[in-house]
Parts: sequence; C-alpha cells; structure tokens
Amino acid sequence: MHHHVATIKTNLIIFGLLMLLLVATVGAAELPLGPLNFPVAMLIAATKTVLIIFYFMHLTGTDKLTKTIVGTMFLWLVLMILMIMMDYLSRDWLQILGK
Amino acid sequence: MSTTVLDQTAAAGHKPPKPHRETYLDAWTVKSWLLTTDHKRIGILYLISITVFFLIGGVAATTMRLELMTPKGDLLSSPDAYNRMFTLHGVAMIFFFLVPSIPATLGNFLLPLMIGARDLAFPIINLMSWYMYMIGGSIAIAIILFGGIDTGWTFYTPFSTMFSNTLVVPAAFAVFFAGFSSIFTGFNFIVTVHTMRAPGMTWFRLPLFIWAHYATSLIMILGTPVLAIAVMLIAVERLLRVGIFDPALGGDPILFQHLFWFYSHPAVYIMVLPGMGVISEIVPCFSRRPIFGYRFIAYSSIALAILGFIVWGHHLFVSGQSMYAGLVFSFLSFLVAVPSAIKVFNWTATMHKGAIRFDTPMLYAIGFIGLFTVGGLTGIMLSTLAVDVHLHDTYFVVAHFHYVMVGGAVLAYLGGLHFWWPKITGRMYPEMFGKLSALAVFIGFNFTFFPQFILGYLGMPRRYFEYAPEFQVLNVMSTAGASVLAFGYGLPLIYFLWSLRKPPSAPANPWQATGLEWQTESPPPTHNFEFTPKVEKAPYSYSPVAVEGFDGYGDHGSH
Repeated sequence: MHHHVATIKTNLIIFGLLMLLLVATVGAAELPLGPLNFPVAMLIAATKTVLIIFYFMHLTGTDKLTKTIVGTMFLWLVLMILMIMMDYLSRDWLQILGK
Repeated sequence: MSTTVLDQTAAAGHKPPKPHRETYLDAWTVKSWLLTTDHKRIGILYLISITVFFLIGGVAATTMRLELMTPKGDLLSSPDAYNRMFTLHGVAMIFFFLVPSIPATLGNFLLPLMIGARDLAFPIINLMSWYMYMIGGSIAIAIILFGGIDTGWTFYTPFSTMFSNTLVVPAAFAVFFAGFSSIFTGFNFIVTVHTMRAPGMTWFRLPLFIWAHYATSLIMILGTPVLAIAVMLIAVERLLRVGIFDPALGGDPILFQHLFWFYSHPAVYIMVLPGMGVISEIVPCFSRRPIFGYRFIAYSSIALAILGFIVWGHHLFVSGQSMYAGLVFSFLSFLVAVPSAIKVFNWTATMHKGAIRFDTPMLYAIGFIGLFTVGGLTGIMLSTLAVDVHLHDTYFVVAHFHYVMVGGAVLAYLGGLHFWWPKITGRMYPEMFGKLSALAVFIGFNFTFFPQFILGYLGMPRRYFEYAPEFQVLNVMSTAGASVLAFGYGLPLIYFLWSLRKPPSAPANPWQATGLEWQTESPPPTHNFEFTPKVEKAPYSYSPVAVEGFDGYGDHGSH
C-alpha cells in the first residue's frame, strides 16, 4: 500500500486554513444572519472536517477502498440527519382529524 | 435416520489427530491468555466473558418471571426493584451478550480460518477490543453492585436525564466502552476480508458466514458511533445541564429516540445477521446439498445491513413523531421482509430433497428458521401503523423481539457453538444430550414467549410490576416455559465443560463439511494452516453420495 507522506509545508498550510476557518466560525456567529446562521456554521464546520480528514488523517494518499468507506460514513451521517429532519419538518403536514 | 452420506472430497479429514501436534491451546499461563493476539484465543476470552453476562441476564430474567407468577408484586421489594431488574436483563443481554455473541466468539475464531488467513488484519486491536469490552463489562457489574439503573436498556429521555436517581452516567460509559469494542471488531473484520483472503478465495467463493459478518461489520462501524454519542449526550445533559433532550433547557426528548434507534434498530441486525451466517453453514452441511441461491443470500445480507438503517422510526410511531414520517418508516419497514424472506426461502429450498441428518446443530438451525419466521412476521404486524397503536408497549412487542433475538440469534449461537465445538476445542459433545438441549430450548422457548403474544394482544403492558388477575394463567405458562428454557440452556453449559476433561480426540472434520476451517486440524495450530490453502472451487460443494462414515462419534455405519 502506498502512503503519500504530507510535507511540513502542506501541514502548515492546512493548519493556517483551519485557523482562518476558526476565526470565520466566531465571526459568523456574531453576524446577524437570522436563519442562515446555522447553515453557515455547519458549512464552515464541514469544511474543517474535510480538511482534517484529507490531510491530517492522510485520506489523500490512500486507495479507493478507504475513500469509499469514509465516503459511506459521510453519506450515512447525511442520511441520519435528513431522516431525522423528515420528522421535524413534517410535524404539521398531516393533521389528525378532529384536532 | 434414513441415509448415511459422505462428501468424499472432505473424507481426508477423518483421520485421528497426531499425538504431539502443536495447537493454539498449548500455552496455559495467565499471561499467555491476557496478552494473546491470536484471534482464536481472543474468541475464547470473549466466549467466557459473554457467558458470564448471559448468566447475569438470565438470573434477572428468572427473577422477573418468578415475580410475574402472581398478579401482585410479592417477590421483589418494590416496583423500582422490578425496574432495575428488567434494565439489568436488557443491558446485560443486549450490550454484553447478544451484540458480541456470534461475531466476537465464533466470528473471531472462524473468520480468518474460513478465508484461509493466519490471523485478523489487526491482532493487537482485536485484543484491545476485548479489553474495551471488559472495561465496559466491569463498569456494568459495578453498577449492579452499587444499586443498579432503572431506565430500561433504552435509556429514554426525559426520564434518564431528569428524573432517574440511579447510576445512569456510569451505565452510559459502560455502553460507550462496549460500543467501541464492537467498532474495533467490525473494522478488523472488514479489513481482513478485503486484504487477507487466500489465493483463489474470490468474493463469490466466500462462505455466507463471511458475507453475513461483513454486513454486520458495516453496521457496527456505521451505527455504533451514533449510540456512543447519544449516551454520552445523556451524560453531558445530566452532569452539565446542557440542553439537548430536556425541553426546559431548549432540547427535545424525541431527538434521543431518533439517535438511539438509528443505532439500536440496525443493532437487531448486528445480533441476527451473524446468526443467519451460521444457519447458512449448517443447513447445506446437514442436508448434503449446495446452498440454494448463494448470491441472493449474500446480497440479502448487505440489503439487510442497508435497509436496517432506514426503518428506525417504527419505534416512534406513538412517541410524537410526525404522521408523515410514520408513514414513510412504516413503508420502509415492510421492505425489510424481502431480504429476510429470501434467506428463509433459500434455506428451505436447500433442504428440499436433501439427505437431511437431524444432528444437534441442524436441530438448532431448523428451530431458528421457524422461530425467526414467526419473529419476522410479527414484526410486519408491528410496523403497520394502526396495529402498532394498539400493540405498542405491550407484551406483544416483548414476544416479537424475543422470537427474533432468542428464537433467532441465541438458537443460531447455540447451533454454531455445537457445530464448531469440535473445531474450537478438539472435543465432541454427547450427541444425545445435545439433541435434548435443542428440544428443551425449542419447547421451553415457545412456552415462554407464545403466551406473551396473547397477553400483549389482550392489552397487558410491558415493564409492569403488577397486572390484572385475568392475565395470570398465561403468565404462569410463560414462567413454566422459562424453567424448561433454563434447563435447555443449562445442559450445554454442563456437557461442553464436561467434554473438556479428556484430551482432544475429535477428527479434523467430523461433519464432512467443505469449508476451509475444516481442512486444518482440530483444534487448529497457532498459525491456522500448515500451508497457505488454495481455493479452487465454489463453496458448499456438497453431494448426497451415500457412503458409510459420516459420523464424528466413532460408531461408523450405525445409522
């Protein structure tokens, strides 16, 4: 199995990006975006996660199988959130008769 | 018995073992066991540990059944004591017995042998998995000693976070550790199956036991982290008052049920899929026929792993979940019947026109097929929205999941243990007592749980300390059945231990089975095989050739 060892430079760049995103998280929390606050925070968090998985956890240099497994895990997380939201967002859709 | 048959291709394994052969059981120091990285020894460590928890859970079940002999609460001191008792039963049986039962014992022992490997991909992580389990298990035992927990094994909020005064936080940690032990096992299995198959062992030559364990491992690594996080969030809310599930703090109690069942429904398949793998090995061997519909059974394992993840909402039909979500989850739940039925039909078709032998493993396997079918069909009834409104939280649900978990998973576990006992220990067990135990378990099980379907349908709620007097007859039947069941469980415990008193004498392949694990000696050498095996044909190449000698007990031709 081939492993691409990331250089110190790459690691420092990713670290710098993560610090910038940290600032972005704090900054976005202070902005009055209303209902957009949550999706923006999640987007920044997801970006951080992807950077960490691909570079610090060496996903860039691994084979397709490992990438598939990690991709599946992400998919499962999305599936869980979507199906839980299916409940929360549809609480008022079908009213019980007489209520 | 009608015909005695032998698969001639495997007849070579019938020789008695050599006198001073090296086996994995040679070293007997404490260190050699506690620091072992041999998958076979770790399987034995797990076997001993889960048996302890099975006994603990069994004592709790017996106490509950004795309490329920009479409508009044007269055995246990209080309803709270009864709550702690059924929680102990559930936590011990689910997290510390059923989830690790087949994968961590038979799976650990057999997976490398079946694919022709020397060990699992990560032997040290395999040992760590057992230590994780033991840490969780020790916490669980400490909880029992220091007062117990009364939330039920489901830890439902807001009771678990706001009202329960018992040891909820330590229990959350116990489940957390047990969860990580199964994550370690799961990903070890996946990597091993991908990277360590013997030459010629292609994906569609893998035994169906391996397919089932692969599917189980997927659930373990995809689902278990969610449970671990859900129970940790309970601890966080109890200790730090962070609002996650408590509405007073801005949380939502139903969110816990979503997170909990996102793992715990697929966990049903963690418990029963490996059992299905065991049955797929036993049925063709004792029918002397190649398995019917190999690829369908293999794919149906993967289908169960995937579908099992999108049906959890059927546990929330009456919990305040939206009607729309209820409809979707109800429909999806019906779909699970398809891959389950594929398996049942294919096992039955394999037996059709086979030269069937009713040895102990086969008796357990046939019991599994019947009881799992009842459990599955009553699951369809429960996933029907309107029916569930009536049956939810009644004894009908208790009966349903015991038909799947005990009638399914435990019977498969016992069948598998009998089937591979000669391989694991090098000893045969007394066949007559084996058959007696299989019959006692089957009869005792049905006597215990069938009355509970009727009780539930008549409206007796589950988890109640006292009940209406008209339910007493059925409850007494259930308790009487439980004592037969306990006898059936006790027998193998005694005769398996009894079989260990003599030195190993079992042949390498007492059942004339075709799997790779039967091509090495019983018990296997430390490195499993003297030569790397080469696989050149499809699995289950059984043929009903009538010859003498299919008998592991030395009385050739007596049938």
